[in-house]
Order: sequence, then C-alpha cells, then structure tokens
Amino acid sequence: MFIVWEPVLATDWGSPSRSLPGFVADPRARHYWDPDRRLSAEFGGVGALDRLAGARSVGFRMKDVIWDIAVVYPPGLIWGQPGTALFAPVVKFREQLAASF
Amino acid sequence: MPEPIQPARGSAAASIASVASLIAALSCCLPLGTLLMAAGSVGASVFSEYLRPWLLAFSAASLVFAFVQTYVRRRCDFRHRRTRTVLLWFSAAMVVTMLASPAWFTGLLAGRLPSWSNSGELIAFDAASFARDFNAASGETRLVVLLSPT
Repeated sequence: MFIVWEPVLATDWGSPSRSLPGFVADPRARHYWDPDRRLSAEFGGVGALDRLAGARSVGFRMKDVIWDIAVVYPPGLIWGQPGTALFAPVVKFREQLAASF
Repeated sequence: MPEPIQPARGSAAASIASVASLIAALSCCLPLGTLLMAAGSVGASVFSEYLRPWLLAFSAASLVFAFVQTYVRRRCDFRHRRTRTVLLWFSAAMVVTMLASPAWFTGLLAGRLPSWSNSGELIAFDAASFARDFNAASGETRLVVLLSPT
C-alpha cells in the first residue's frame, strides 16, 4: 500500500506532522510526502483521471489536483500501466477497497 | 439614569458562529476513521474544498468580533456570564488548535487520533524511487492512495 500525502486543502499548510502516517497505521503501508503534488502531475492531472484505471468510481469533482483517490493495481502490472479500479473519495468506497486489497 | 445593560446576543452568536463555521470547515474529515484510510470524505470533496478557507476566515472573524464585544467595547455583561465566557474561550481554543495543528484536530473530531506506534516513516516523494518501489512489489496487489493531510 502506497500512501502519498499531498497538500490540497487550505489547512494543509506547513510541514506534515511526524504523526501523519499514524492515521493509516497499516504495517503494509509506505508513506510518502509529496509537497509539490508531483504524483498528481505524473498521473496527468485531473484531465487524465479516466485513463488511470479500467473501472472508476468517482464521487466528487476534483478541481486541479488528483486527490482523495485510491487506485488498485493487481499483481504483474508495472508503474505506468493503468490500474483495474479507481475509487474517490476513499472513505466512501472503503468496503470495495477492503475487498480488492 | 444609566442605560440598561443589553444582553450580549452578538457576542454569544459570534461564538456559536465561530464554532459552527469551524466544524463546517472541518466537515471534510468527518468521519475520518476507515478500515484503510483516514483522511478525506465526500464532504471534503464536494463541499469544503472550496469553502474551507472562507469558513476558517469566518471562524476567526467571528471570534475577533466576540472578543471585541466582550473585552474591548464592554457594553454588556458578557464577562459576568459564565456560560458565554466559557463558550467564547472554548471557541477560541478550538480555532487556535485547529489552525496550529489541523491534522491532529480533525483526527480528534473524527474520533481517531494517529497511532504513534507502528506508524511508519514519512518518505520524501521522488518519482523514480516511487516507481522502483512500486515495481518491486509487482508480485502482489498494490494500492496507491493520494490523500490530503487534513
């Protein structure tokens, strides 16, 4: 599980707390801090959302940054290939995510 | 004959407005606790993403108004009313805590504080090393999640 934290909201100012990974205290998780939102850009931005995964469940409109999403990649896929499923916002699809991961 | 003391409705209302707008501003993180993730929500996505700065500003402005009414203008007996004073300072504490540590505060409101044990390390994002880590785990199902800290 790759958790990438990025500043999006107005309250995301400043450096992240060291306790931030503790909000997803799963031993399988690797936590990254992406202050420049480079992963969102690497994904191609909001306009490329449709190409990130074969099936998409997106419950809100993103403005200019890809955020609050989870993309599922089954074994065998390498970075750059689209995932099989994309969920956003994460909390709304937690059950589907739990089932697929 | 002295003027009768007016009830401090403005101050109390400002305190309540401050709390209400603060809660509204943080609504994106309610509920926060999930099986896998603990940040973001529908509220954040469709509501507070755009309104949050304004709601926070409104919180601060309401608080300033309440303090001015209470301690500067001194036209009312607000200071002698314990409940209102407690409400004012409670509001102030919430707003200041929120601004000082938004992630911690939103977690608290959501009933979930970060786990200090086994919480992992925060790695500076680098696209190349991220791709390397991702591919190194290609034998298993992977989940890539992008989240806002608050």
